[in-house]
Parts: sequence; C-alpha cells; structure tokens
Amino acid sequence: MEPTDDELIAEIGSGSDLAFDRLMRRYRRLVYRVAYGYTGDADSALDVVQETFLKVHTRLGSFRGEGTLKSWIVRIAANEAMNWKRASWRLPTTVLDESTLPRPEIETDAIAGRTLTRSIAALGPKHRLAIVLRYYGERSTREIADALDCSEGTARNVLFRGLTKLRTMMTASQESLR
Amino acid sequence: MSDCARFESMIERYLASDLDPKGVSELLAHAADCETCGGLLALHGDLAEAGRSVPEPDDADLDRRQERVLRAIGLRRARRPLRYAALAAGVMLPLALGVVLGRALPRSGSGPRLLEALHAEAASNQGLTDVEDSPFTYSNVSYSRLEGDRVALDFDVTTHLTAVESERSPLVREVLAQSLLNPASVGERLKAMSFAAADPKLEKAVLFALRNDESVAVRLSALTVLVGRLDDEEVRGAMIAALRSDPSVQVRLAALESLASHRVDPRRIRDAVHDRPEAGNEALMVRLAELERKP
Repeated sequence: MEPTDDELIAEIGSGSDLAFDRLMRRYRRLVYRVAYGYTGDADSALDVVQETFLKVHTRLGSFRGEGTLKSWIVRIAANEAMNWKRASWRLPTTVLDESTLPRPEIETDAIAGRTLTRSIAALGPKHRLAIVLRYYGERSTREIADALDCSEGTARNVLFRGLTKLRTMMTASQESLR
Repeated sequence: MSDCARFESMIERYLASDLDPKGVSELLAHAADCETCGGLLALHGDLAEAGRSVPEPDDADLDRRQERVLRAIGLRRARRPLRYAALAAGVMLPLALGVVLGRALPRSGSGPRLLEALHAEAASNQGLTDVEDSPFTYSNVSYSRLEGDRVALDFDVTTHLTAVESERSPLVREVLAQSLLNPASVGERLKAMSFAAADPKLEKAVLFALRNDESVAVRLSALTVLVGRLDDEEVRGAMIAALRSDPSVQVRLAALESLASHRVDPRRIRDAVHDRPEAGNEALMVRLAELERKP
C-alpha cells in the first residue's frame, strides 16, 4: 500500500531519501504543469521542478500541516516559477536567423501562446495561481481553494475575475498587434 | 450584455465544471448573442486547450531532475557535520576563552564581519538575478536619510544589524532592490522606492515594481521615479504598457500625464488609451482630449 503524505513526511524527517524520492514522484507532474503554466516552456518548467523540490526538502520541517501537503508544494512551485520569470528578464536577446523562422501559421500559434503566457504572468498572484491550477494543473475548485487558502465560493470567484482580467489583457494585446 | 450580471454566477460555476446541463444550455444561448460572455467562454476553451497541449515531460527527464535534487541534498548533508564542527569551534572556543579572559571576546566582532561579508556580496552582485540568488535575505528593513549622502539602514539578516552607509553604497542598493523584488510590506516597498529615485542603477527593480507590484501606491510611486528616465526606450515601453493595461485607472491616468508631459509620440499614447475599451476608459479619453488640445 502506498504510504500517506504524513507517513512520508515523518520518514523524510528521519533522513529517508527513499521517502523523499517517493514524494517527488507523487507530485512532480503536477509541479511541472504548474511551472509550465507560468513559464510556457518545457525546459524551464523542468528547472522549476528541480528548484521546487530542493525548497520543499529544505522547508519541510516548517510545514505545519495547516493545509494539504499538495497545496503547500503547489504554492512553493508557483513562487519558484515566478522567481524564474524574474530571472529570465536578464537573459540575453538572441539574434534571429530569418531562414530558421517557423512557417507563418506556426508562428501565429507561437505568438498566441506567448501572448497567453505573458498575460497570465501579468495577472496578480491569486488570479494567476487560480488560472494556472485550473487549466494547466487541471485541479478541482476544492484544490484551488486549498492552494489559495479560501472557500470554494471565493475560489470560483477568483477564477472568474482572473479570466475576465486575462481576456481584457489578451484583447488589448491582440489589438496592439493589428 | 444587459443581463450579463445575472449570468456571472453561472459562468463561475461553468468554469468550475459545476453547472447543471440546463444552466449550461441557458448560458450558451446567452453567450451566442453576448460578446463579453461569449469572449469569456471562448477564452475558457482556449485555456483548456492550452492545458491539454502542455508537452508531457519524459520520465527520464524527471528522473534526472530527481537525481540532481537527491545529490544536492546529499551534498548539503555531507557539509553539515563540517558546519556543526565549525559552529562548535566558533561558539565553544570563545566561550572557553571567555571563562579565562573575561566576557568581552564573544560579544565583539560578529557584526562587523557579517557586514563585511554583506558588502562583498553586494559589490559582486551585478544584476537582479544575482540579487535574487544572493545567500542573504534582508527583512524588517528600515531606512532613514542622514546628513550628506548617508543612509541609516536597520535590518535583519541572520541577525539584527544597523549600519550607516553612503547612499551610493552597493549594500544600500542591494537591500533596496530586495525590498522591491521580495514580498516586503507596502510601507517598506514605498520607502525603498523613495530611495531608489536617486539611483538609476535600481531602474530594473523599479520597472519590476511598475509591472508586477500588487499595490497601486507602489506602482504610482514607481511611475514617479521613472518619469525622469523616459529617454530610455525600455522605460517608455513599460509606461506605455502601464497606460494600456494597468488594472488601476489611477495608474493609467498617471502614466498618461507622464508620457504626455515628456512629449512621447502622441500616436503611441493614443493607441494605448484606445486599446482598452472598458470601464474607466472614459476618464482617460477625456484627459487625452484635453492634453491634445493644449498647444
């Protein structure tokens, strides 16, 4: 039988790497999807997965069990992904070789994808987390409420407001491209 | 559009996959004739599609990342006994000596040494990434301006420290940048912003605050700081973006005033104002028309 999160936490506390390996295996795909929602890039999402679990291991002693372990890990992943976004400002700009540019229809999709990722990144933290968890993490309203530390009704409203803001930003950004 | 408010809670439940089939039919019928609600449902569909299109990572890639995490944990654990030994030597030796030599020795020295380390770290940090990767995190920061160009800094970093520094000191810049980047209190962020005004090197941190800070007051303060740097295209771009899409009309109005007073290309300003046809835009349109009438 699979050990519960609490059992794993206890084992990790007594120094078991095997237990931490199991815990990572349990949540790594969720962390990856959350990270992808923030970064829009598979390699960056994998970097965030790595950083997230390092933080989880460091801070596990301070996890008081007030929410679920899953929502605690999701919040750490969201913070790490945001830090990654900030750090990526400093990346050097690549000079493009026109011959390597993708075909027009693919480029349009790529631009739409980037616009979506940028607009999500421009949302406030609560709205951003709700949108990422709902669509990229494919989480239920209950789980979103856990991660936001609020009621399900409030989580539904945060999701709605987030979507409304996102639509406003996407519309503005599409019109600026015309 | 008139009865959109009635559909708001239905959309909320629809987004949460919690709306009964009858409600879904009613909502879809409304959305077919309503641009606002139809647009929201379309975006919901696009996002669901984006979620489904996330490339699944290979197990091998994830396994490699897990191995790296476990290796890093192992390394950390291996260093710990050495750190304990150093700690024990650092604490026990002065204590033992203190018994013999008196009480002064253990009390002196750690503050200046730590301050030296902070100075060295701050001086070696070149950009925001370095600041974020810094092993030192400052909290409970307070600043006060002294005579000349000096600043009194008071903060916690592993221990509580107080220092008087030149306003141009790398340490002051480091602490200011961290206050703007990290989740400090609004008061601390505003105070940091007032000091950042004097330092063009903190421009990236101020731009970050303008784009991302949750507090309208901090974003307004960032606009004030950046007004003097509108010759820089990145600053102009950030201000145009604030004019176009900041959630606060107040911030958008302030961005409009700043851009207009610095004679930024009127077409860019007009396009940004007209980009967002929603509540609050009227105030911007009126002000823009007033500014355009000015000689």
